[in-house]
Amino acid sequence: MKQYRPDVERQKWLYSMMKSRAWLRRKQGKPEGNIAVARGKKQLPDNSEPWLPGGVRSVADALWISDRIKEDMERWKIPIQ
Amino acid sequence: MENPDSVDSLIRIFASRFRVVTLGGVAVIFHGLSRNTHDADIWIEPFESPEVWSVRVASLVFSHSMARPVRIGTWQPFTEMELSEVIDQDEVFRILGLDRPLDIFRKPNELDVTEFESVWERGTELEDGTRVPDVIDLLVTKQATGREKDMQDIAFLEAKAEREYAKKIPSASEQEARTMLERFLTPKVAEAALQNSSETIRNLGTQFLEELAADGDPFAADILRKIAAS
Repeated sequence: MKQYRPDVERQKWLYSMMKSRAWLRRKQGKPEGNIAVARGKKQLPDNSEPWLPGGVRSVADALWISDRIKEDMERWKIPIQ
Repeated sequence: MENPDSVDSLIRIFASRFRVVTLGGVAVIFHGLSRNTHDADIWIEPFESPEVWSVRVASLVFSHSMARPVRIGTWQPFTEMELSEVIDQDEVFRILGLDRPLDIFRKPNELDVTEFESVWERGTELEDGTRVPDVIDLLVTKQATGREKDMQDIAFLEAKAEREYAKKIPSASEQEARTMLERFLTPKVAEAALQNSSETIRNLGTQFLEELAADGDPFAADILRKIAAS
């Protein structure tokens, strides 16, 4: 069985980003984690609504989501890859 | 009303005749990433040979009034008789003329034709009869493409697989945990294995952390330093 492992170079890049973020927060005198959470407040929950009730149940559902996103990107003039 | 010239209608027809696995953006959207996709990708069961595959697939493709099959990359049209040679060489072809392009694979990126059965078995069945690969099989197809969009998909899928594995592995049976570690490994997953009740799995977790660290993974090295200090 083939074992999937993340690309090491990407892991190094992610690590570097993580260390940079931590360094910047220390420089700014901020706590390591979320400020609100550090002050004892609750983390905001994920409040996004699902595109389709019940999730993607067919290829047509997935393509419908894709088309709505594409429409929004065009409306907001976001370049489409 | 269903559009007979839409890609999803043609995919339904394929799925009524063959085993069809959806790949690419459609599969990624199924796994929960909100993104657009330019086309649809499917993997039709590979059958015994490119010749057999071509005979079966061609009968549906070339009888469709709107479908225009072309070769990937050159976008040259080809005939029904040429499909066998095209699929043998390219392992995939594209159908134009529908509401969006459809890429049909006999062998997807980074997967072998012999792996179809296991990918199919692990997949989730959709209402249209197709199956979506599990998150790790889908990750494998996204490897080494070098495309920006695939990098975003990889980041999303790796995080999803890692979350699921790190949650499951501490309480998994020895056999389950071993199978999981043989399929997917990140430093966090190896670290989660250290909480398993089986000493064999805990040793495997340590061994994998050491391997990852030796390979240059800084997260694995950090976890090992933390363990040594405790």
